[in-house]
Amino acid sequence: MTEIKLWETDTPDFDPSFGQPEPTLTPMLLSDGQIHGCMLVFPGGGYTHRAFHEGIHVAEKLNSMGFHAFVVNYRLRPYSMQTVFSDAKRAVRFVRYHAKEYGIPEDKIGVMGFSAGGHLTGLLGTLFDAGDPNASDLIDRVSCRPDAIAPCYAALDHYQRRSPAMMQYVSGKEHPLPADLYAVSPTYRVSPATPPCFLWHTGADETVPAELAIEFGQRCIENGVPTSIHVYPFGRHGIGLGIPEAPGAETWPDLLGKFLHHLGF
Amino acid sequence: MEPVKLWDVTPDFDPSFRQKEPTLTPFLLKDGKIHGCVIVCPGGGYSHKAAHEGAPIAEKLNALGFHAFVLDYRVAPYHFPVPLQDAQRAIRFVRYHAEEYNIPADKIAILGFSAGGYLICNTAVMWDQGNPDADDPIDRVSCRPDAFIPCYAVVSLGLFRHPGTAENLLGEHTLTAARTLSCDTLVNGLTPPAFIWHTAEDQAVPVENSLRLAKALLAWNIPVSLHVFPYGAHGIGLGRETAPLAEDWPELLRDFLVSLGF
Repeated sequence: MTEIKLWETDTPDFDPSFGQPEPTLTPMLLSDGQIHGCMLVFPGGGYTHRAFHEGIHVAEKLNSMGFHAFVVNYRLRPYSMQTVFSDAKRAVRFVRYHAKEYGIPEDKIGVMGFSAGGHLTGLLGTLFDAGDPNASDLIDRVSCRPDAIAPCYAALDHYQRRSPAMMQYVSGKEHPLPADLYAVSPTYRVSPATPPCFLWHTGADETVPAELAIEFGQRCIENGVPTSIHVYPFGRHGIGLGIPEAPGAETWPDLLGKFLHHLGF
Repeated sequence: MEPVKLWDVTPDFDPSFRQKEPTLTPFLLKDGKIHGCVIVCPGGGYSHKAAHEGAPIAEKLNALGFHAFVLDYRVAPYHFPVPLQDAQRAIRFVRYHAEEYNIPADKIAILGFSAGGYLICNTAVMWDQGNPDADDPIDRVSCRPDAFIPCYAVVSLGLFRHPGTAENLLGEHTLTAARTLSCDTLVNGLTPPAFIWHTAEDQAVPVENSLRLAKALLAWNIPVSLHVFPYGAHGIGLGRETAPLAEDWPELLRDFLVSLGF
């Protein structure tokens, strides 16, 4: 599959000794010549890898529902959280800059992600910026605000979740204070500017508690953000498009499709 | 089918309140097969019962493959615990007659809208296994529902309450009484599984009622389905044009009940 580099030359903070390729996008575009909204897909993997079943297969499902899609191949540890987040922001800017060429409306660019990819999705929905009008790189002049977000069994609150290694990674500190965790936990950064939000999770998730989806959803609703929350009872963490042990949860993609179509995607 | 009285002699009945005796109206599938069932409790703030949250819901449940009953329970000026007694009796009644109705005795769910939603949450957190020494054989049967289905339901009678419902149920509303009877705080490890849905824009019963209930169930590892839809006012029943996206709830409910073996 074709991959397109997020930065054509000079990927910022690139360190070849980390043994990772430069960050890329894998476009999965419909070829009907029609205009469609799109979703950027951020696979999960705890920032140590990118889970295969949360990437291309999800993009294919999005295509089948009538959306363009891009899988984002963002950098991983030991790159810092800030570097990884900059890959995420760059991905949105890149797609918006090339939107017309792709047959995508500039205001129908959504973002979705699973687990750690869900954390990136939440960060994009709350810590976006409007671009830098003075940037020499034209792509950096473009807004990175998504037009919809879909965090899937997402780690949206590291202050509450309290996984020690992850708290250190996302804050960049060995002994993070509460404020350091609030700053990188999307739940505490929701505002009226947060884009429409579709959340789903499984109640039996042992890795990321479903309460995080409910609370992020509550913050969105309190801020007047159109919000869908879907918690299914059964299924472990990481079921992607669904597994037999999670009966019922396989309906989430269709619900997401209806949500996005209703927003004009 | 015709309504059936819950009791031959209704306890605590007061004719001066000008309400009928509580009844169940069966909506049974006629295929001769065994199906789980859902007892439907319409809303109405404990002052009346909303027609669109009764028979049409039972008919939809039939279409999804379940037997159903509509419960006509007593409302104000009857106060707590009379409506609860009606609902508990309804569950016992159906369970007692389960074989005759082609219903497994352990596949009896209860569903309610708004104030009817509070009522069914009550049955999920306040139940007993029956009294083996009761004269009335129906009273020897458990009144624990096997699943409960709050639909844009009142859960709390204190914070996030719907004032009309709380006052009509309690008579005199005090925070002390409200705290004792807020269903999210009464959840425990024996509470049955739940399918909860609500619209985020609900202006009458805040969505926080459903969010708090869902978190209480998660805290006890009770299987819970929660579906919050972005649009729609309070009281949409089966979902209407004004509540796009919410019309999916009955099919999601079907999946949930099927996953529990209904």
